[in-house]
Amino acid sequence: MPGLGEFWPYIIQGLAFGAMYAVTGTGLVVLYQTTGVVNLAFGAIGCMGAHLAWSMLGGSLSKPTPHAEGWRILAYPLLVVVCAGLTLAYGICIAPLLARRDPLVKSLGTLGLALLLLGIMKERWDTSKPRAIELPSKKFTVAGGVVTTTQLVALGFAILVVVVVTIFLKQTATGTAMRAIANDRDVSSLLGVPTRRIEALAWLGSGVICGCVFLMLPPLFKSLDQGTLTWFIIGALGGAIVGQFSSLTVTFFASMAIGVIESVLTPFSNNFQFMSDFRKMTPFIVAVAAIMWISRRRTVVLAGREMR
Amino acid sequence: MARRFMAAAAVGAMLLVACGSDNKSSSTTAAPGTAASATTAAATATTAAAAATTAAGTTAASTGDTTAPSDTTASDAGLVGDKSATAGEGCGLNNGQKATGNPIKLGNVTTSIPGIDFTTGPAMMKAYFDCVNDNGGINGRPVQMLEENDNGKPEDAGAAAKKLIETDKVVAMVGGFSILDCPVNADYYTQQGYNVIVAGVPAECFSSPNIAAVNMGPGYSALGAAQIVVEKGAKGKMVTMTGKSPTSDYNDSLAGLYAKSKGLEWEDLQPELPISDPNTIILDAVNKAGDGGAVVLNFTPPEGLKLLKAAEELNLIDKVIWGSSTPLNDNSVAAALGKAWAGKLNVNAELSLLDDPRPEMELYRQVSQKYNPDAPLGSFQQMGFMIGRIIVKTLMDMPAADVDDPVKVNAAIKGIKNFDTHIVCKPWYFGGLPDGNVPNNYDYNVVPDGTDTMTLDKDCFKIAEVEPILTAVRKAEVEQKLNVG
Repeated sequence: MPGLGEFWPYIIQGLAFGAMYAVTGTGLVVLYQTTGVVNLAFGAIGCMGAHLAWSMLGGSLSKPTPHAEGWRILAYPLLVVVCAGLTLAYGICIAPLLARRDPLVKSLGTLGLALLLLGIMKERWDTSKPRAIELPSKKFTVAGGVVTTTQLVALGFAILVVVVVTIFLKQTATGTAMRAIANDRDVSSLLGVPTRRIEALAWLGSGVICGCVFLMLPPLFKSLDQGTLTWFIIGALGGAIVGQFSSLTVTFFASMAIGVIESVLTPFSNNFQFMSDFRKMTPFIVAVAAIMWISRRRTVVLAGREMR
Repeated sequence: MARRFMAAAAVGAMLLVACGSDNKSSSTTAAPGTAASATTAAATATTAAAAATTAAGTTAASTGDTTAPSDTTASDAGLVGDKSATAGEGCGLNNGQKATGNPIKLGNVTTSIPGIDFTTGPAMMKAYFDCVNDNGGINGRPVQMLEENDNGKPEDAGAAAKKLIETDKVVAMVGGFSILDCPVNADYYTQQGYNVIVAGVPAECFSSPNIAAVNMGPGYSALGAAQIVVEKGAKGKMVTMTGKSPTSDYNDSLAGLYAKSKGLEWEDLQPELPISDPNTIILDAVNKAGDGGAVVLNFTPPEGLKLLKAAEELNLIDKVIWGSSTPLNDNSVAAALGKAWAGKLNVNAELSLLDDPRPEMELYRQVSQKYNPDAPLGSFQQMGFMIGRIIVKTLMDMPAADVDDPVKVNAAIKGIKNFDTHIVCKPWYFGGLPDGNVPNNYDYNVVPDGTDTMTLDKDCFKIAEVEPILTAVRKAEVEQKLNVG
């Protein structure tokens, strides 16, 4: 079992991934609160944007990690625009068709989009060769652990997003309208809230967050691995579940905890090897534990008898 | 209510998921394989000059001290060197005429799943077949490649082989790049009388009498990398790494045996594929190896690169001596690694350098450029090309009436020996040996040059005999004159 001091470099790595989980969770929660949709295509949309940016940066099989030079630096904003555009397009064109269906159907619609994008990416960008996007980054040592500016930006961005979105939802008219729609879409509509426009705004906001996340995620993963990036969302759902798809603050801290736990379990070996082997289960274990905790006082009627 | 439902649905989805170069070579590298042969009486002045160049390159590119006794000194007997290629010049008949008539069907089972995608190998074999078909085919008839994906599932691998042999009626099984084909189908191929040429991954590709590989697979290749890192001074502990898969216990086992035989501790790490947390995984590996230890990677380029870039980010490059099995011998890897890794990653190369100037490699590059232009040059592609050369030459040497008879075709495959190609160190043969076949058992060591090319660090060297199969193979090579002309 590693000594306590040996965990520090792993905590640094975990904080960076936790931050990405947190921002993704925030995007999911805001969209869910407004539209009732858990956007399972979040990762696929981001991955598609990242692949287009890689191509625009001049990536090729002989240059799998292209560097931004001259006009090609526009690839970075392009990534955000593509993510925002794809998300908004789905929100305007497809999501309204499913608006009155139950939440599961709404979310399955986004799963369909994810699979479609995954298929396109697999067809267009051969998965057997390496691809990566790097951001200009510097590194320095903190208490023996290497920290990169990309990791710091990821952490700072996560905190910024949570604070700004929280204030936005509570202090602005649009934010209030979003919360109203989350409570009751029909009543809000009767009261004059422009539900379609507000929902479109929520999709757009979620898309912008998606684009920003996928500016940082490929450099953290060191690759544009389609499967890993597309299903990154699954890990991020853990934090959102702990926050019950409502509390951004709880989502943030739960996501950070998941990232750090996943990371610090890596060096365990010998008798504790199972902890390392199962570290990728962390989001699931945390989510299941949270659901059990949340449901602990729920009354269930079974065969006519109330049971706790 | 809806929130609870969504939470439950989300957890369900999570659990479901849980279960669930173009080459820009610019260097003028001497022809590998010529260095050792240069010491023979027949060596030409040109070869001697090439050897001198190679030796100089080796010194310049070496990392670490080389005080450890060398286990990699090549026996120069039988190296291909500059001998003419058995398959001759050009593709097939090389007459520029389109092949016509019923195609001669050849099948293969290949793996293509996230994290393990070997399709670049068969794609290059098909490119060679396309070139053959544009140049007279097999005595006028075209070759057709039928490929089935095993999807990483044993049941799919079994069904694929049956479909190819019983439904599609392929006359030979050649060019499979699979993690499952050999263990699942070796007995079936024996029953059907098929002698199979593969690019092998699991142990069964090297321990089955009726299967022979053009490569030596992750087991022997990681062993070759282990030999080099020990020669370069690795001390204390060797950590080997390979992705979790049905073959993962075998992949690094031979390297482990070698490390132990040299008094090093050995630990094998098997992260899940695709790797999603490269920083923590490589940090763990280097910490376990300790300063001056060795880390030997056994991954495909996309996965290996993640770990190497993470090591660079975490300032871990100079803490250990780095080795890798063949897949990272790819110029796109060298381009991605850049200056930080110049000369510091020892990649075992089962096949010749990508810019080897000898005719067989020149033909490979030409065919790749014309018929497979989107693919970079790389080891898997070399393997596909080499298998294509072997089977086409074998079919062309048969009477035209016999090439549709699987019995005769597979008898001809079994009889292949002393097949000179500049792509491997020694002539290739099928063998059909009772304990298994490892016809490719001499390797190169290459290192990234800091720009965009893998350069020669050590010429053809002998893979260590750490288990009985290779010992038996080498004995049979001499007794049966399988690769000594």
